[in-house]
This record gives sequence, structure tokens and C-alpha cells, in this order.
Amino acid sequence: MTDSTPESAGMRAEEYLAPETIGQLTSFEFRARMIAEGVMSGMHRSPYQGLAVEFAEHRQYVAGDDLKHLDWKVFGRSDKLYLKQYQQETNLDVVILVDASASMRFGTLKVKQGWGGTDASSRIGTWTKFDHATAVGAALCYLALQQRDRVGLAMFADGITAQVKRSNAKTTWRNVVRTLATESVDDTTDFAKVVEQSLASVSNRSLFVVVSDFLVPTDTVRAGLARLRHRRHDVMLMQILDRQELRFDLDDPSPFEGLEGEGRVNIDPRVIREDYLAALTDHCEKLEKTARSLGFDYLRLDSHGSVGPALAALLGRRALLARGGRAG
Amino acid sequence: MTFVTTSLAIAGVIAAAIPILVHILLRRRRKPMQWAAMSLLIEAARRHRRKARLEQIILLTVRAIMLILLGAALAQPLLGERIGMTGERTTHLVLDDGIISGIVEADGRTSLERQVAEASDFIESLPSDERVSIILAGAPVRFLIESPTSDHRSAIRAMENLQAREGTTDIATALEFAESGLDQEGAQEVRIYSDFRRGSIDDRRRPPVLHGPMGASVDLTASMPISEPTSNIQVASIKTARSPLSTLGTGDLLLVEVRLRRTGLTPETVSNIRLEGDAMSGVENRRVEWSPGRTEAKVDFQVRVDTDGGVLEVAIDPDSLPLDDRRLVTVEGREPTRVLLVDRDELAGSTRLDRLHGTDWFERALLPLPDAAIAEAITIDRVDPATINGRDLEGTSMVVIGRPDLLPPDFDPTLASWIRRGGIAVVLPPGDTTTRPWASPLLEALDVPWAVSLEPTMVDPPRSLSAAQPSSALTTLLDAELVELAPSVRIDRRLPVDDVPDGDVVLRDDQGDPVVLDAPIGAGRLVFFAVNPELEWTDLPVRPLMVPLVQEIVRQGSALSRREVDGVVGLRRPLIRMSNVATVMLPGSGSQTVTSEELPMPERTGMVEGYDLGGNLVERMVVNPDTDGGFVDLLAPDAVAAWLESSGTWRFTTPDTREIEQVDDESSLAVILIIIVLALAILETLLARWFTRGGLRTNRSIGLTGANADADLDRSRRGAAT
Repeated sequence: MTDSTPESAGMRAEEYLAPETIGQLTSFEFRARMIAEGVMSGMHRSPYQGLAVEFAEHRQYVAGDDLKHLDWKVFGRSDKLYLKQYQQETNLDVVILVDASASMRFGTLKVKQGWGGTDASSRIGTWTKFDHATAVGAALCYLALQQRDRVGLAMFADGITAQVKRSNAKTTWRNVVRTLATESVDDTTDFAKVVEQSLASVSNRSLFVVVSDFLVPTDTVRAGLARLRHRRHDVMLMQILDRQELRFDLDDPSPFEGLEGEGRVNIDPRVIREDYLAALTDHCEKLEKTARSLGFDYLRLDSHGSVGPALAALLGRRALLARGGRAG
Repeated sequence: MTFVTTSLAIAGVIAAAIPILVHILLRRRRKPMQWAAMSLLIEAARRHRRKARLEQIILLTVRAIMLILLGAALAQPLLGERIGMTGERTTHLVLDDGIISGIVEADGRTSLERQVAEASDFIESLPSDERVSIILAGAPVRFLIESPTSDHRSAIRAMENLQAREGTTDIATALEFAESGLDQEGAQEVRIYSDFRRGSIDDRRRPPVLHGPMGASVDLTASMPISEPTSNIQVASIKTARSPLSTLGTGDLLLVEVRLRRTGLTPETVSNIRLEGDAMSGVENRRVEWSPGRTEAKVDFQVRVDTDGGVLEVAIDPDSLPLDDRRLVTVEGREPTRVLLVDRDELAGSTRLDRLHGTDWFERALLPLPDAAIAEAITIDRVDPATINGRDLEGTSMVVIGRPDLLPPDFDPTLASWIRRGGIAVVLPPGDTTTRPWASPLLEALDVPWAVSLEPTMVDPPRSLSAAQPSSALTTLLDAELVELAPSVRIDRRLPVDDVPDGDVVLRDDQGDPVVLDAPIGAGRLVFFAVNPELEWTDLPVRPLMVPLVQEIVRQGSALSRREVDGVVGLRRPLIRMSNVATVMLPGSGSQTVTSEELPMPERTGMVEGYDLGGNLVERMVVNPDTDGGFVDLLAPDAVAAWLESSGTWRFTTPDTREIEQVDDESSLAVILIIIVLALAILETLLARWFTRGGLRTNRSIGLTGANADADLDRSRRGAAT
């Protein structure tokens, strides 16, 4: 007997969306589809319910459907149970910015031989932040395309290094997947420049989803976000950090070398752990405060965790936008 | 430097290499760790540096204090008053070499040899800069090393040939010697090595208070009183007395009374007593059977001695303490006893009995019969009191003073000196006329407490001598006759004498007042007649008691004086009575020129011989052991501590505990310091761990989480459950 409670369904979905699971899928397409489907199947109620949408078609009632969507007229006429289904009124432009700077190469979750992933992960044998970011980005693209939204993708480091123009055409998905799979991960991050370049190619109001570790000065992030806010765009910040970065649970003194050319420092992790965590907390809190102050969403993701919450957050945000509201 | 076990030293070096080898083998070259959030790491390192500086100062302080205290502990600081004292430490060793230390123990060593070995061990254990002085407590007490020296080898050598002496142990005086050296700079210790038997302690004296300069206390240590019981039989005394008629026949008949004393264990045993000497022919040994618990015995010998006199020796079987198993006594040769009568010759040649003076009656009593032998034995001279001087007393055994009031005022000291050297002075009251208050100056010069009246009093009704007379050394041989002879004597006049100790009364009247008194003064005696033996005073001169009384005063007085002439080791010097003695041979000291009346305190037993300028032997004396110091009874530590208490608080040690106590004493503060160091080491470890781990929190913070962390947590929980 299948457990159909919301909690159990959600857990199954998140378990299904764990990196250990999706990392084993070599096809980006399949991976993204699986993530999106997993999220959808985990939701008891459709996120579209309650939105101002246009009637599209009927479908036969199955056990578990909400009775309030029954078409009683049809039932009166034919004595059969049909549900009314609706078509969304307006489309949404979604621009997904994925950080491909060198710091995204960091990861500590080991992957097995033969697993799929990016060049970054295959090189060091670990599930990197970039792997997690691409998984999230691909899933978001897939989900948005399923909603017939126009989706654009941009990879960035010290500038935009590759991009896929916004479109809801069927070819968009292939372009997105190809771009995510082949893009190199290198260089430092220049967030302000990336924002400027992105704004140059976007004219109408859009939802920007920035997937990055945001290990840059918060001032530069604030400046970029302020520019987006000024142009009346909506933004979701998805900060991807490795669990080791979040917990800093190391014992042995070692030389630490920055991935973006910060140099090498000998450090005893046990000694400075508390100071490091304090500095990280400060940084993350400033980032979140910055996002919230501009009315944007902020979501911190552990690269060892599931990617489901990111998609759920996107869907929630999209619904809010569809109603004309704004978070914060 | 060398090692007793070299292999162990090599093993130690090899063992020390093991941890070094392990360290080298396990040393890893750490790969650089790629890190994304480098800016945060650098920021954290910068934050930590500020905090680490304070932590390092705290750790540095704790470690520095640890090292300081460890150094102090290794230096073995001393507790109490020693702290803050400067200068080297000085130990004053008091070594008991008295007669009691001559006990021969089961291993054949004497007690003194054992004490010397222990003292040597102690000196060897001293740091090279500590100084020692050594005081020998056997009387006469003297320094073996007076100036404290750090030459420990010499100090040990100085003790090597020590032998127990026959004097008693005088720890009180030895501590006075030690006290004189306590004013030196630096810490001071007094350490007594003694068995602390009964003979080691003189209850009549107390040790002096011992303290260092400025009242600083002194470390007082004594060896634990011995607990090994033993038995000791000693020849306590020898008394000799010539028979009153001993001048008849060949040689003199001599009565020898030997007293034995037993201390310590008193089991059933037998003692053989030998009497030998150059003045007598052989005599059979005597035997004393000691029953359990018996402590005293008396043995009488009757021997015929040469007319020239000599030395007798009494010896018993050797026991655990051989030093008091032998005793000497001199026997006078048959030399005439010179008696000097000091009186006015007013009625010389008078035969009227009622006008005879007391001195006249004395002369008659000394020569009662015209017997040639007696006349040869006693020579009587007469001198006027106004003209008497010191030369008149030379060679005189007894002087009878009939008119003490007529003696020159400056003669009293001369007379006193002569009496102290063994002379017998018989003083008679002056009679009806008294020219000066004579009694007080004379008695004062002789240090006699009697109070003699200036004038005689008539006794009405007349008194008689009491039939129950006190026991007196002078009348020992008359005790049996006095009961009959004394009551017949009538007394009409007497000179009141007060403040007379009971022991000084020779004869008393029926009212209890003294009639004849006797006081020992030095080696001599003062015999005082409170009733002048004249017919106006008493009928004693014509009574049968007069002759034996006077004869006994001469004989027993001479014998008693003779006894006091002999010396006792560490206690009494032998007295030279002959004025022509120029040099003496002392036992253990060799020949000494006589420069004063007193000889040095004897240190050994044996014979003392006096020679005149021509090298002729003119006088012989003996020196005997001080048997009072030979009591071997055990004393409890509490009793010894109580006796020593007047000088301070003493700590008793045994050879087994000495080193432990020494280490414990010297490092008691060191132990405290090491405990503090260990506590600091633990504190340092905890602090270092705290600082390294960011505190002692057991629930270490997990750090930040992602929005997907809760789901992960649930997943991991379920995974663990399945």
C-alpha cells in the first residue's frame, strides 16, 4: 500500500532528489526532468491551484483529487465525475544565472566512478558546488519550460561566459543542457559586471535566479541587486555552499589554498573554527539581509543536501508573482 | 661521571630514540587543501590572532610559573625558619662517649662504635658546603671538633679512634657546648647520638635552651632511645679500714668492703670477685649468687697488707659493660699520723686534772699507754695558736684547736684550704674567755651552716649523752659500744649550736642537742666539740668513751679523707696532699708538672703517681670509673623527650628512618611545590585544549546549515533506523 500522506510523499521526493541519487544520472536532461517530476509528485496540491487561470480542458476524476474542482454541471448532465483544468493566463520570463567561477569547483562529497556530472566534478572526484548549481539550474529550467515560461540561462564568472537566450521553444531545453554540461569552471567572480551584462540583454520584467556560492564581498552583491531592483526585476538568490564550508569540521592543521588565487595559508582548523563560522555566519546574514531588504528571496543550500527545496522555492515565488504580489 | 650499570644507561638512550623515530616515521607532508571560502578563512585567522595573543600570554605565564616552581622544588627548599636564612648549614654533633657507650653489643661492637658509624654515615650524606662540629658528651665533656668544618673526611677520621671513657655521660654540659656554637650564621642543627639509657641522663641537671642567632629556632634531632635490654654488674665502691690493733704482728690487717650493684636485666646469675694488689698476698676469690631481682651485694675481705701500703684492685667477671667491672683503691703505708695540738701552754707540766685543757685530754687519749708501737704510729706536736702558720700544717693529718679564738684572723683561709685537701680539724670551744667572735669567720671560710654561740651555757641539771646516738661515719666501729658508754657521760656546760643538719651530728645529749659534730669539707673534715672535753664542762675525759672516741676520730677520719683523695673520671680530681710533689703521672695523659693545687680532670682510670723533684715516688692515688653513669636500664622515648624538653622540641630518628626523614624534612616544601607544578601542568593542558578547541564545550557547534538540511537530517535518521 502506498503512503499518500503529504509528509511521506515529500520525504520520498527529497530522498529521490538527493545528490547521491541524481549524481548517478549521466543525462542532464533526464536528471532535470527527474528533479522536476520528483518535486511535482511530492506536492499534494498543485501550485497552480487558486491562480487566475483560463479553463483549458476536462479530465476524469481519480481518487484523491480535490472535489472543489469537480464540474458539477457535467456531473448533472452525464452523471460522470470530471475535473476542470485551467490554462495559465500569462507567461513569466525566467533568467537563471549560474556561477561558474573557480570557487564553485569546491566540493567534499565523494562521487563514484562512472557517475555523471560536470567537468569540475569528474576532475576531482567529488560532487562540487558547481554540480549542485547545474542540477538546480537545469531543474529550474525544465520546470519553467513545463509551465510555458520563457527561460534564459547565463553562466558567469568575471563576466557572462555563456548564455542561452530566453525562449519557451522546444530547442531551448537542449541548449540549456548543453551549456550547463560543457561550460568550464574558472576565473574569479565579478558580480556587478555580470548584472550589467545581464540587464543589457533583458528588456521586460523578469525573474532572475542567481545560483552561486556568493563568496564575494556583500557590497558588490548589494550593488548588483540594487541595479536589478531598480529595473523592477525580481530576484532569487540561491547560495550553494559545501557542507564542509558550512561546518568546517576539520581536525588536521594544513595549508589552505584559495581557488581564486587568494594564496596559501597554514591554518589549524580546530583553533580558528569558531572564528571561521562566525565570519561565515556574518557573511551569510549580511547577504540574506541585503536580499530581504530589496524584497528578494534568499535560499542557502547545502551541496550535500537535496535540490528539492530550491524548486519549491521557485514555484512559490512564481505563484506570488502571478498574483501580482511581491515578497518582502 | 660513571654509571653503576652502564647497560641501563645505554638502554635509556635507545629507549629515548624510539619516540623520535616514531615521530619521524609518522610525520606527514600535508597536501595543500583547496578552499573556496578563503576570504572568510583569512578573516577568521585575523580575528583569532587577536584572541590568541591573550591566550598565549596566559599559557606563557602558566608555563613560566611551572618552570620556576619546578626549579625551586629541585633546589629542595626548607620549611619554617630555615626559609630566608643565609649562610651554610651547621650541624653540631653530640656524641655520647660516656661509660654507658662502652656496652658491648651482640655483634661485638661497642655502642660507641655503632654511634660513630651512624654519625659517619650522616656526615657523608651531608652536602659538601654544610659544616659540622663534634662534641663528646662523656665527662669531662670536650670538643672533638670545635670550629665547624666542611671537611667531612677529616671529621669522620677524627671519630675513628674514639673509645668509650669511664666517666658518666653529661649531655646537659655537651648541649651547653653546642649552644655556644649556635650564634653562627646559617641554619643550625644539633644532633645527639646516644643510646639514652639510664646512665646517659642526669636528672639533677637540665639541658640549656637552644636557639640560634636572633632567637631563631634550631633543628633538634636525637637518636631513638635504644630498646635492647641488657644487664650490667658493676663494682660500685670499695671501703677499707685498718683494724685498731692492726699494727701488731706482720703487716696490717685490712678490712675491705666491696659493694656490687646490678642494673638492667636481673636474671639469676653468679659473679666471681677477685681482689689483687701489690700490697697484699693472694686472697681467695669470692662468689656472689644473684637471685632474680637482686640489685645489690656486699662482699667483705680481710687481708693483711704490706706496711708500705700500695694499690688494691677489685675485679669481677666481664659483662656487657666491662668498663665498670674493675675498681682500684690505695692503701696507706704505715706512716706515723702527725697530730698537731693548737693551744696555749699555760700550765705545761701541771698534773692537776681539773686544770687540764681539752687538748691535753686529747693528747692523753691519743697515747693512752706508753706503748712503743702506738707511739711510733702517732706523732704529737704542739703549737701556740697565736704563732701558727701554714707551714705548721704540712705533713699533719689532724689538728686539734683548743683556742680557736686566738688563731690569727688571716689563718682561717689557710686552715680551710688544708682541710679541703684532706686534713682533719678538731675544734674545741675556747672555754671561759673568748678574745674574739671566732666561730662565724671560721665556719664561713669552711662553708659550714652551723650557728655557734659565742658563750657557753651551764647545764643545770646536768645532762648525759644519749644512749641512742645517730649513725656517723666517724663512729661506725663504736656503734655497739656507744649504747653502754655514752649514758655515763655527764655534761655540765655546753656551747649551743643551732642549724645543724641531722647528718652532721656524731654525739648528742639526752635532750637531743649536739655534743660532737662532724662535717665533710672537700677531702677533709671539721669535727667540732660543743662540749669541751675538760672536767669543768664534762666528765667525758675520765670516762671509758674518751679514748676510743678520739682514736676513731683519728683513724676513721684519716680513712675517710683518704677515700676522697682518689679521683673519679670526669667527676673528681685526685688530690695531692704532699707538698713536695713536683710532677704527677696521670693515666692516659702522661707526666705533668704540678703548677697548682688542682690536677686536671682525669679522663681515664688508673693509678696516679706523684714524684718529688728528685724523681722519688712520694704519693699514690687512683682514678676510678664513675659508676653512676653505668646504669643500663632502658628509658622510654617520652621520658627522654621530657628531660630534653627544656632545650626545645626534639625529634627522634633511627638509622632506618634518618634518610627518609632527612629527605622528607628537606623536601617537604619541594613536595608541595611539585604538587603545585602538577596542578599547573593539568591547568596548562586544559587551557591549551580550551584555547585550541575554542573552549571546553562538549557540544561542539555544528556550524551553519542549508535550507535543505532538515530534510537531510530526517533522511539520515531514517537511514540509521533502517
